[in-house]
Amino acid sequence: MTDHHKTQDNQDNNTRQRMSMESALDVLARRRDDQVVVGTMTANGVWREKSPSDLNLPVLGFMGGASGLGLGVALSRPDRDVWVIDGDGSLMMQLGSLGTVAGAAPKNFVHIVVHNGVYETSGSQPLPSQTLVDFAQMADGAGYAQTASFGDAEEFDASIDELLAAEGPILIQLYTRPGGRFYTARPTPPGSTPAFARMWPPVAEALAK
Amino acid sequence: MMQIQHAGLYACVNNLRGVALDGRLPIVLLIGLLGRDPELEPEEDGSSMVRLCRPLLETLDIPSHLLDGPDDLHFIAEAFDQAAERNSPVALLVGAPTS
Repeated sequence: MTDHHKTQDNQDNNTRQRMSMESALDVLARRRDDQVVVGTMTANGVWREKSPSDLNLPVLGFMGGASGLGLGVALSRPDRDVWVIDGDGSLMMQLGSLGTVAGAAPKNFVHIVVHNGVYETSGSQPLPSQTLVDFAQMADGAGYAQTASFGDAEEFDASIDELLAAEGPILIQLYTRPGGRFYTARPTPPGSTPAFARMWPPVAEALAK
Repeated sequence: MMQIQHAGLYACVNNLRGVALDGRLPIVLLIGLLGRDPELEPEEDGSSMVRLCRPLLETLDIPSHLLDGPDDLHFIAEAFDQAAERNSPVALLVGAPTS
């Protein structure tokens, strides 16, 4: 019997060190090259500003789908690295995808989970497991090749190159402070092309180059 | 009462069917229609997330009421009564931004 996870890292998330989402994504943006980046929820907008690219594939209209979509891209394009920038609430919605990813074992798959403890887009309601949930432990249990957690941007910056050089699937949990980014969606005019149908073709085109 | 976004409703259909419907549980679902154009009927909305919500609830035999403004707030108490009478879920759809 082992309980090393609990003793090692059972810190209450309320008192945990957290960085701003901007500083966390800055660390990633500085390493951005030709990776396909599947972003979701609040991180999506921040990432788009930090690292504009035709290879940004946002998850629009299917919260929870980032890991599955990213896995599909990673499996179909093993020559490309795929970064999924997931949210804690989003991943909770499709937690079983951790097992699917681990089972498929894509070496080119980096799963970044922005853990702010709240459903930020709908008004920052706390996640049911806000104070305890640890996605790195969950991914360990699912069978990811590597996992790591950071609450400090400098520490993240010092460790990320080694992590990115390792074989995936990798899960990197980033403890961030909620930013109160309440999302007020503009109505979609009737007959519009769904957002995802507009987002996917430019990425496919960029990938074909 | 269960508070949920329309995306959450779509994600939990199997549990709703298997537990709330088959288990005959009187649950009031408060569902946000994020991104709805309040000028249109939900079924005319350009977003599938909004447009398919009531048809889905209808398919599941879950009655629903739109909360578009203060005049609709009486539906909240009625939904609890209806859920208790039917022993089944009843949905309240928050159809316009509240802030």
